[in-house]
Amino acid sequence: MGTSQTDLELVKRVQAGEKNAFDVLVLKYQQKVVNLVMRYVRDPHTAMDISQEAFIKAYKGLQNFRGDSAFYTWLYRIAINTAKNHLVTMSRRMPANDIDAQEAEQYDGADALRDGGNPETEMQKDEVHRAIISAIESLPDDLRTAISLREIEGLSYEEISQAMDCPIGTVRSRIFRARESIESKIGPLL
Amino acid sequence: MSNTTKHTTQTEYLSALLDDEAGAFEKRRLLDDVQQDQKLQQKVATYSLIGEAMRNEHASVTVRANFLTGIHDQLATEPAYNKVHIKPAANQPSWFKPVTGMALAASLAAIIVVGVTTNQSPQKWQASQQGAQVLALQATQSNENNSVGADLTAKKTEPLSLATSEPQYAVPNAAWRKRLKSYVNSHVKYASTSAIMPSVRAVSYAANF
Repeated sequence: MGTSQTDLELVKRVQAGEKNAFDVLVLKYQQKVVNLVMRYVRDPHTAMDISQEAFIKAYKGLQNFRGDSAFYTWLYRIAINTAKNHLVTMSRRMPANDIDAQEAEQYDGADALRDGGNPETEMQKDEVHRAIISAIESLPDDLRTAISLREIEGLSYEEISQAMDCPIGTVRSRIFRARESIESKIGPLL
Repeated sequence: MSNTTKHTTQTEYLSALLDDEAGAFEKRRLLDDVQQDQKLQQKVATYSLIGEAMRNEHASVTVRANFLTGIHDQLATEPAYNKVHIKPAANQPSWFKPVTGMALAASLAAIIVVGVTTNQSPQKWQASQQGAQVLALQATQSNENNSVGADLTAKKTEPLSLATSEPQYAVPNAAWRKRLKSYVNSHVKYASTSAIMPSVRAVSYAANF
């Protein structure tokens, strides 16, 4: 979700003193940041703590954010540095393959950096993920295609409308309906 | 429109907003709503979670609802977080600041000119008073001879005595200085707090206030 304009609008609001605009940024990127930090630490609770610390650092530094880079790229660097500092403090081994900020959006190598957690955690984390994947597979073809082109391929609505040969309004509606359908199935697990 | 339909439309636009596909108007309106509505905030978190799950085939830890609360709790101990922010004047156009700055500079220049005139001789002050009286008399005659809508350009008027004489300067007395000071104070206050552009006001010493 490279939504730079919406992010910039939210950042401006935070800079203007609207604290709850920062909540929206947290809610939008919390999962992404935790996934990122989980490449560096094995323990989910530690990953949560580090992620929270990263968001707090981001909030404190947001007045100095000038929008030279995308908000998430900036947040990504903060999260990585926070995780690295934690590892240094804990004298743990750093991940062998470091990841560049450019790869932040696409990186898909979480399991390469982690060597597992306890079975209980594995079950818990799999539950929501499995439910989401299952919900996606059960979607009607047009909804599944639309949301996949958006979330996985990163296409714009206009590009999706061309690919699916339908109006942009239909694309918007299909993506929305897909998300609603998935949400209704995973809701009880959240 | 029923509440359900309205909510559906709103969440549909929220879905588009997260894809950066909402229009400028919807974006502003939705962000205002999201900041106040916890249900919409939950939608943001869930939609983002779905996207992350789709992009990462490998299972990851799911962030729970208390994640944000934890951040709030930690930020609450920060003095900067609790400080009340004063929102700057909303949406001032880009030209506003330089224009108000120029207006203030022009005002200061006018004050300096007035200040210089205080060094002029009393004779010139008297000449200025006479010129001002001529202006006042002409204005009175003009008002008497012209009704509203009359062709003012066709009417001949006597040349102003001030136009043919040397520039006249005034030496303000204490009352005038006091009045000028109040003008300056009012202007500074006006220019610094109002969203309306300050205007340049020409003050004639001949005018009756």
